[in-house]
Amino acid sequence: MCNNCRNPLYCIVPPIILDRIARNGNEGQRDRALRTLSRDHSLRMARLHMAELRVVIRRGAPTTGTLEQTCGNKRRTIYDAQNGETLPGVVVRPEGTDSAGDVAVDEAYDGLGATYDFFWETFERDSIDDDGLPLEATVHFGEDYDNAFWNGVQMVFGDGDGELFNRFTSSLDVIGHELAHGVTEDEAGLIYWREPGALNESMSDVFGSLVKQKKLGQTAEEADWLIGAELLGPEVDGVALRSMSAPGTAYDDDVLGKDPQPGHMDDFVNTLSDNGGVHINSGIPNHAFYLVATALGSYAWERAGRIWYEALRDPQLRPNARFRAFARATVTATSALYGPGGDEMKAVTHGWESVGIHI
Amino acid sequence: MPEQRLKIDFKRSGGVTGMQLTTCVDVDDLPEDEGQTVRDMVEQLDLEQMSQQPSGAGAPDRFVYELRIEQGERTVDVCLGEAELPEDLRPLVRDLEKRAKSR
Ligand SMILES: [Zn+2]
Repeated sequence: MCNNCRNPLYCIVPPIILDRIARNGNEGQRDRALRTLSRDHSLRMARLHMAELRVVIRRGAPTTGTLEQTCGNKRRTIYDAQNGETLPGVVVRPEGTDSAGDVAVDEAYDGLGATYDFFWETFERDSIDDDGLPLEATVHFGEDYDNAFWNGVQMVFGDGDGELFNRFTSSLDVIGHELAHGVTEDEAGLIYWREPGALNESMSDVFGSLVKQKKLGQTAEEADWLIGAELLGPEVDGVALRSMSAPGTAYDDDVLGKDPQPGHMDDFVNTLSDNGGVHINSGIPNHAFYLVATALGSYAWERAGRIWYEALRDPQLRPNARFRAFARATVTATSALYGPGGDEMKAVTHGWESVGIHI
Repeated sequence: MPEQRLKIDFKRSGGVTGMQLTTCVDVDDLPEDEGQTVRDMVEQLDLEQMSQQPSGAGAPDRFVYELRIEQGERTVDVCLGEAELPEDLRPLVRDLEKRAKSR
């Protein structure tokens, strides 16, 4: 091994940001970027309209009820990639079928179910698109694959290498994290780069953690506020991937290094790796959520979770929103839900102040 | 004739874990057969083309790979998302991931 092991920044070309291409790209690139940008806003407007319609139907006079019947029903399909990388793989467990004894398949099936139920029971959200989108997940992706992701269409889970990481279906909050990426893409469409990217990541940690807390029936005080505690392998010195209560303390390991997450804007990490540190700086909004949830007490999904969810759905929130814009959206949501002068508003403003975000 | 110098710096960032893997390989420090395997894997690559490929818009929880390959007199930097990784670069990336994980 060479002894001057530098860690230079090779990502000299930042990931493409849509509005920049819309201004400077060639004709084809510009068209694609504009279409993606406008799709985001027109879809959200259409969805707002649909959501309003559905509320009218639910609350209104008896109707034929066809919409009603399709709401609140999970439609899951679990696929097996058989350690290849072709998606989605072969169907191994469609909705309503029994376990065939593969633990990763069953964890994915149950985890998607718990996540669907969380969004439905807590926010009356009908799946990723709030329109009953079928939930698809592939397990046994790749060989010793140390990851899970949402690819815009479905969720994908690796088996881990068995040393650093166990199978990626073993943490319910990680399953919730992946499904929440779909929700964020559908609502605010936060760009996956620097601050909006870290917000995108934080949304997934917040809702992933809430899915687990609701499943376990834990209050904010009882919850561990850890992400991915179950999937760390036996050789790793650490307790989880991230800690929302104490960012930067989840692990300190010879191979993986030390948890780099900040919990305050003073320690914001400037990097070009990890799409501009999206899994690093997410510690800041993560910690703000933890502070708000524990200040309010009781079940975190009831008030803190509702505020965050409504802020994510705020049509004013732009795809390039930074932390402060999101913090302001939580204030707007708090005011609309609980009034401008209550404990909720105090908790929200104090939470953001405490991580160095001044609204 | 002595072989060309070959050094590789490697970093994998991102993924849902957000945990970085890094390693740095100087082929001269490797056992001969192992070094030859790495040389062969680099030989296959179109480094110029790879270094000019812009990294695309970030995709949630996919890995980001950064490599600096110093071969003879030239240095090539590559930064690619997992989904954009060319087929011929994958064996080298898998090899470097394994090295980065060894304690
Ligand atoms: Zn994520």
